[in-house]
Amino acid sequence: MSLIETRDLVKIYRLDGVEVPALRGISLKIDIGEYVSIMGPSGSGKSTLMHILGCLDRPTSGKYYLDGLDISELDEDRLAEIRREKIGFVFQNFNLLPRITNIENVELPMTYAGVPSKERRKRAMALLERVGLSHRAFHRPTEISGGEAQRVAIARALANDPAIILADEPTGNLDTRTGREIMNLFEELNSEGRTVIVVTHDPEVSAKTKRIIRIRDGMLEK
Amino acid sequence: MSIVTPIKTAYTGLKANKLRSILTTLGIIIGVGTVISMVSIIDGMNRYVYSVLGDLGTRTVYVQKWEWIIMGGSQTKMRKLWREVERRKGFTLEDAEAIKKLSVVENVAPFQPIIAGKLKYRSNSVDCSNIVGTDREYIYITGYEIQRGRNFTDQDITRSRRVVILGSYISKNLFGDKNPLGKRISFRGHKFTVIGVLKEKGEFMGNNLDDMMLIPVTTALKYYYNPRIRPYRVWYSFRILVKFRDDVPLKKGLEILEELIRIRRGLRFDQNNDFALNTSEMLLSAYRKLTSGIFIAMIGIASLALIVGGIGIMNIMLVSVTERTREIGIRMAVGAKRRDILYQFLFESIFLTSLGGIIGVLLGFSIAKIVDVTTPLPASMPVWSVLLGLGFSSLVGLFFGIYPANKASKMDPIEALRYE
Ligand SMILES: Nc1ncnc2c1ncn2[C@@H]1O[C@H](COP(=O)(O)OP(=O)(O)O)[C@@H](O)[C@H]1O
Ligand SMILES: [Mg+2]
Repeated sequence: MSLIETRDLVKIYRLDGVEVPALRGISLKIDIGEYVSIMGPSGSGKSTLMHILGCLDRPTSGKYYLDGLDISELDEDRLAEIRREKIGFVFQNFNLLPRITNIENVELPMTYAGVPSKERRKRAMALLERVGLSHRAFHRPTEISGGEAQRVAIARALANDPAIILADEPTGNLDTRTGREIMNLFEELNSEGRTVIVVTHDPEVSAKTKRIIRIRDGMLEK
Repeated sequence: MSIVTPIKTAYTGLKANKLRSILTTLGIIIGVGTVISMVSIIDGMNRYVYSVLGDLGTRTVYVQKWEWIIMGGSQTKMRKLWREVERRKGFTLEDAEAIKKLSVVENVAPFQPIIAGKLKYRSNSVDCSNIVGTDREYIYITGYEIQRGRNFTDQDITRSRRVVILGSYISKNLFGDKNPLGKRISFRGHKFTVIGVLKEKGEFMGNNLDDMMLIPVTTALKYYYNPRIRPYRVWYSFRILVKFRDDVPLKKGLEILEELIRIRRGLRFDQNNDFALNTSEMLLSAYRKLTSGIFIAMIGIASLALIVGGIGIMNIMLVSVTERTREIGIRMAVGAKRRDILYQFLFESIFLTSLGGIIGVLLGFSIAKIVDVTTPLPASMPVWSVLLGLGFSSLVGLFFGIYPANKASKMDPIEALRYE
């Protein structure tokens, strides 16, 4: 069985009584260790799909199996645990907490996992080193550049050693060169055996991945 | 998740908004501060009053014409009551003698107060406020002690001798360090020989207990008592101090005493007492009634302040939750459960109010200390009031934090993440 498998995923948003179908029957499979991009124009439903794959949201109908688990069967606490243990998110706008230091941001998923504080600090430092930012550990996210912030965010995504990295337009707010560096980092992570899924509308970005899943109007393109 | 983490998280959240946090806790600070200062002052007064009244002996009865505590109601009603008291028959030395014969009493002392006046010795003079005509039993009942010289003898009484025992304050003012025994002092046209000096007793509620002099009761009646002078009919009327034996229950003693006096006054069973048996126990209970009234008023004020403070906290927490919507989304995305978010904001709210509680306790103690130092009111700081202050402030934080914290924890992670 695949690491990720969806069957006929449908997501319908209801806005003032109007139904907006964001996903209209998506069936896909992603195996362990893959490096995939989900590509499509703006408004095609990429983010919606990513949120469901990341267990932040539930489909209106259809099935989602993660590691053989039927996600639609699980309660919210279990979903939170899955996000914590198995998934690392990387966002377009980094989504770091501005009031705490970078290293505390990296520690955040570990605090919710109950890792003791010394161990937490040690692991967070190692991760920051890994993304080349240990010298910014005790700065705040507001004191570093966008490229650096995205590296901190990637370190945070790796905090609980998740099987899957989900990145939504991770280069969207970065210049081309910095964006390329971030993509290299993802490639490295993938070469270590981690499953990496990058959501993008940019063909140049998707070209870096090993497989491209194309989406348009909430459906997969053949 | 450990207990330390949410506290730390809450602390970080508050640190970012220091000024606002302090301002919102003002209500809590005032509420807790009021309680602590008032509790300290009342507790201090209680200790003081109890210790001194206890000294006086709650088993001592003052047999006299008027009740110490007269609850009259309207002013005209009060005036009528006092006129009735004025017309009552006074007590006499014979009454005292009769009471002395009761088996339940230990000591009996007649007590004839004299209107205050000037005492003179050569060129020195001093105003004496408490002048009492009595006998040798007086000091046994009131707890005074003779420091030098002697107590009254039976001859002093039977012969209405002009002898006097001085309070330490009076003695000091008239004689300084010189030996007052045997000296002759004058008071309102009569000369008295000093036969004794009382040991210093200090002060009670601003009254100098050593500003006092004792003369034989018969002397007082002979030279100074005058029923045509109005005060002698009520305030300065003759009274009898009675102390029961230790093995006699106060209630039992009072019953026997009352019966004797009723018979002596010829009261029929259907007639009310035209006299009073006053005890310091009555003063204590009146005092307790008064302070419990203050207590209730204070609890009212404090609760109001705490509620207002609590609503302020709730308000600020709601603002904080909205401002930090994205933070909530981020925390959920990295694995926080709804419960974790709930605890975070609850702890934050409790942290805030406890902080206010701590400042309030310090403030209350400072006020109590200032009152203690600058006024005759004593203040003490009971530990339970600190615990109460802190306990209540955290409870307010918990109670008023529930709604905002619940709101935070119910957010949809996606929408929270998208919030600008
Ligand atoms: N919370 C929402 N409520 C209503 N409509 C939404 C909501 N989120 C997304 N949509 C709609 O669903 C569609 C897909 O959106 P999205 O998944 O964000 O696309 P993409 O990430 O590819 O740009 C769009 O038409 C968008 O307007
Ligand atoms: Mg999107």
